[in-house]
Amino acid sequence: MKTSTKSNSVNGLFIPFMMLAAILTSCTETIEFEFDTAASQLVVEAFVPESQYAEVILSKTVNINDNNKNLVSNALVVLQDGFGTSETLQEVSPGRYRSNKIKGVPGSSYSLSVQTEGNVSFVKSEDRMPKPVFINRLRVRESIIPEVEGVKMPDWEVIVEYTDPEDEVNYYRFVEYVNGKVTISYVENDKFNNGKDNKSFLTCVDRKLSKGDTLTVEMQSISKAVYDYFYAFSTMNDLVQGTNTTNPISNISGANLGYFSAHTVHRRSVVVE
Amino acid sequence: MKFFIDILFLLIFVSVLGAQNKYAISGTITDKVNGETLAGAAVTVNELPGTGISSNTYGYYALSLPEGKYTIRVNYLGYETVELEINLNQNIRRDIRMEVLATDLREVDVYPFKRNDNILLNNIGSEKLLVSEIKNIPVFFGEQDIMKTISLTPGATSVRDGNNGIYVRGGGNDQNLILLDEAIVYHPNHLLGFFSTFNSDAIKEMTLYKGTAPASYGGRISSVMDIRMKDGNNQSLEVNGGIGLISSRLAVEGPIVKDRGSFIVAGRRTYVDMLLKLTNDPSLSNNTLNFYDLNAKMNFKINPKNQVFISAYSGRDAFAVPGRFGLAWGNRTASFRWNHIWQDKLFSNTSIIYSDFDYEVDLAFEPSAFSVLSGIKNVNFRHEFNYFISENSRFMLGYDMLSHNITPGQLIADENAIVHPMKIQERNGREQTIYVSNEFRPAPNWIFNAGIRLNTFRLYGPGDFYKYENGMLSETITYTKKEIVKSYFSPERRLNITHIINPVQSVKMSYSTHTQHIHKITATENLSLPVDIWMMSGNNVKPQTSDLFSFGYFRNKQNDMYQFAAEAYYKLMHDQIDVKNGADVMANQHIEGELLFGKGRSYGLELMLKKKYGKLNGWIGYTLSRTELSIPGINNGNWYPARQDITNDLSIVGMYELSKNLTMSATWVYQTGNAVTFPSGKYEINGETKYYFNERNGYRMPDYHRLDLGLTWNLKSKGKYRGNLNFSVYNAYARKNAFSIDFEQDATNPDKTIAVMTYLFSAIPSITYNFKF
Repeated sequence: MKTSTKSNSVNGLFIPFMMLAAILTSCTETIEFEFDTAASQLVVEAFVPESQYAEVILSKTVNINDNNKNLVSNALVVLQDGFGTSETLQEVSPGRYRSNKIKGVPGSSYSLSVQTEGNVSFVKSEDRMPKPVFINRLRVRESIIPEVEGVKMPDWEVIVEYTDPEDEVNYYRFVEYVNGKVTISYVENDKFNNGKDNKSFLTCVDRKLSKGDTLTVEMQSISKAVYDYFYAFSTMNDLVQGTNTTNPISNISGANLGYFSAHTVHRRSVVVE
Repeated sequence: MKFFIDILFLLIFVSVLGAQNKYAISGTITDKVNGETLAGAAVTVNELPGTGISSNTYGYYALSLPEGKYTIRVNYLGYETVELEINLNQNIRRDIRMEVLATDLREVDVYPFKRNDNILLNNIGSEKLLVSEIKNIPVFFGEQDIMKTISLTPGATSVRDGNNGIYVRGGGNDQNLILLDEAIVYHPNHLLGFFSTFNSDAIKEMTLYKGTAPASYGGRISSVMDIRMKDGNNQSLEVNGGIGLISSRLAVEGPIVKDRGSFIVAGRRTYVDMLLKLTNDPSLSNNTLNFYDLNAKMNFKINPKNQVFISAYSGRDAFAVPGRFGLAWGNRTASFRWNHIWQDKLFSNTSIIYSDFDYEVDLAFEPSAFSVLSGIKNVNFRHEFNYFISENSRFMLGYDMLSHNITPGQLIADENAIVHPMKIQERNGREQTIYVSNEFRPAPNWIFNAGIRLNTFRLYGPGDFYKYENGMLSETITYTKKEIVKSYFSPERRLNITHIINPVQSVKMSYSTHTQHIHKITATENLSLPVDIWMMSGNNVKPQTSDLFSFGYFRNKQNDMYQFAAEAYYKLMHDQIDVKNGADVMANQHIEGELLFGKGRSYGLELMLKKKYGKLNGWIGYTLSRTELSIPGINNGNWYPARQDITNDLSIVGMYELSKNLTMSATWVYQTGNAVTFPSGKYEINGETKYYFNERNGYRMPDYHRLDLGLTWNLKSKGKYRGNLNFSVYNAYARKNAFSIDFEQDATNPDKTIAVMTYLFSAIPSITYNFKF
């Protein structure tokens, strides 16, 4: 399933532009395209979720038309928490390393080091889990944004309501699941709505919903570094925002690609009516 | 190098003092039929070969000569040459009215005078277009467009469809100074760049300076586009108009007092939204999507020594879905100018100018109900003297004060809104410039024009001003109103030299430096949306500067019928600005911490072959160029091609008069695809495929080419009433030119990536009815 990562500090601001652009640009065609190749790079995905065991996935980039499963085994992955616990993670399946001891705790810091086989790559990272923020209410309704022929607009609007703490700068990531499958993830900060009762709009044009589907949203409080990493994806290769196509800045030193996130977890579900 | 040039300038200005002459002939050069002033007409003396001056922007000229009998000759492109016999034994005022060259005189053999202005004028790197000469060029939706036409000349280019930004000699599209009757136009296009803001009914001419602009112009580092509105017919009332498929125009002009004053009012409006009403889609038919332009101007000659001009422009785009959202943006300009002739040789102009640009986005649907506002404006005072020292020298001295105000962004929301109202602090700055220049002929076949601009820029409070080190905030200082935050002094040099080898051959060269204090951060590279962020030079952003060298060879053949020009240039751009990877540029008080600074370079060869006269006329323009940037933090600091790097750029423009009433035209453009960044690998994050980018702008878009055709049919005239029908086809062979390319996973084989190209247009036919009475 195709998923998308979207973010918008001010929800919906770009919708008029998207529509305007789309009215004028609706002809598309598949073309032949010859891709360059590039040397393979290490990709690190590491997370310490609240009250769950930490996990690290190591892989490498592949050429554009190759199979996208180039997992990295036999690496030495060491995780340390703020209480002095240090643990070498076990490879539970190829490229996937899991903790047996360290579970995420809000306010706590974690550090990670990864050494690949033969010492080809050596990377380090640190992240601190913010305080938790909870979803007050989750709503799903049919879209009220007008439809335009030839323009993909969301059929459904998913609105997450939460209260932003006033005394700190907050960064959030929302992961949406429909019947257990990830449909969209979305990052947001409180630049425009610090301390407000906030309503966040999860926009996804590819989301298909039917009555009886269960829609779940996981709200994560994340660090600024992780926010910046995911936010960068949303500014890339977008019709409206242009062609600033770059790799997001990673919070892992030594690797160009990937992130290390210690984040809170709060979930809510709703059945579509 | 710069030191020697400064010494040269000093010598030139000292030489002015030695000049001495007895009497002067002076006056204004105008079109006989409608009274429009003619700027840049060449005034020469038959008895003194190798002398001459050109009329200034208001058509004023003066020649100082020793007592004697002379034949004065006045040449202006497309007009019949005028010769005056004078007996100069006192100061003479002689206004000159010129007639448009009759069609039969356009055939070369019968015309007695040379038409080699291109050889004689000291104007390397400039291109002048009169609206009257481009009226047969085929156009998008029947709208004549001087900006689109200028991009068909070498050195000026637009990148792909739907982007009216013009890139001149590798410079960014925010590095062009676009002036409408001296007022700055910040956003020169409508409807996402498909139309320019310049309604051709109201425009007289445009001069593009790709290189060394005269010292009176400054503020941007790549080019000057000086657009002049018509003054209005001061002989008789005239109505012009046009009815097209998506827009209509109407212009009324006429004398206030015959020969002394005139006015023009011109309006244009599109009705794309009316077409939307015809669609079957009910949600679309109530939408607003349109733009309008309104130009107005009047001038009045109070007495032979004083003339005033008032001009104004307002244009606005609107896009709205009722009850949901609205989007509107526009430019406004106003200028008041006063010409005064102190004595025959000394002319002055005083201008007071205002211009602004703003945009507004309103969202009305829950949960996003609020407005975003942003704008930039300036007030400009200029005072300039033109001193016509002798028969071949003109001295210019001016003072220019330009106040800038930027409202970077405001969020307007009420109590219940989910967002807080927010205002990014306004910024105020002021530029003060003194400029001098002198055009003179040290020897009969040499023309020099040397100028200096001494520019100071000051950034003023009130507000909190930040300093960043490596992108991290290092210091915040609060300033009160009028307190100076930062100032820059920037001397700029301008030098043009022409050597006339013989009446059909010349070589020209130039060197210049330029400074820019107003910078644009583009949030949307691909489409021309108005949501750009403007900022001034300050603690973190240094003024952008450029150095330009150019050299050209000019040659005419067959009685000036064929005019050939070759120009080579090398341009260095300093303190160029780019945004960090993934930076948040929207409503960000700390945007200056998100910027990267580097340098750019551009070099190229421009060839142009023009045929100005005859049944078949037009031009072929070709540019071979390279533009690169080097910015620490991007591409490991290595040089990489700029987005506007287009290696080969070819334009062919042809107009053919089939009969007196039928003119056919065609243009064909070919461009190497511009540089873009596309992925070279992929990986997974959270089970999603992400693309890996290896090199900035390492790929090329597919080559761009397009043919446009036009046919103008003059209908039978009834008395004063004249009508014509203009048929045009844009993109006649329906080339699918790529607007963007996106990458998707193949639905059947997730390992494969497919490239999906978006293109804007297939062939677009249109018809416009134009009338005049």
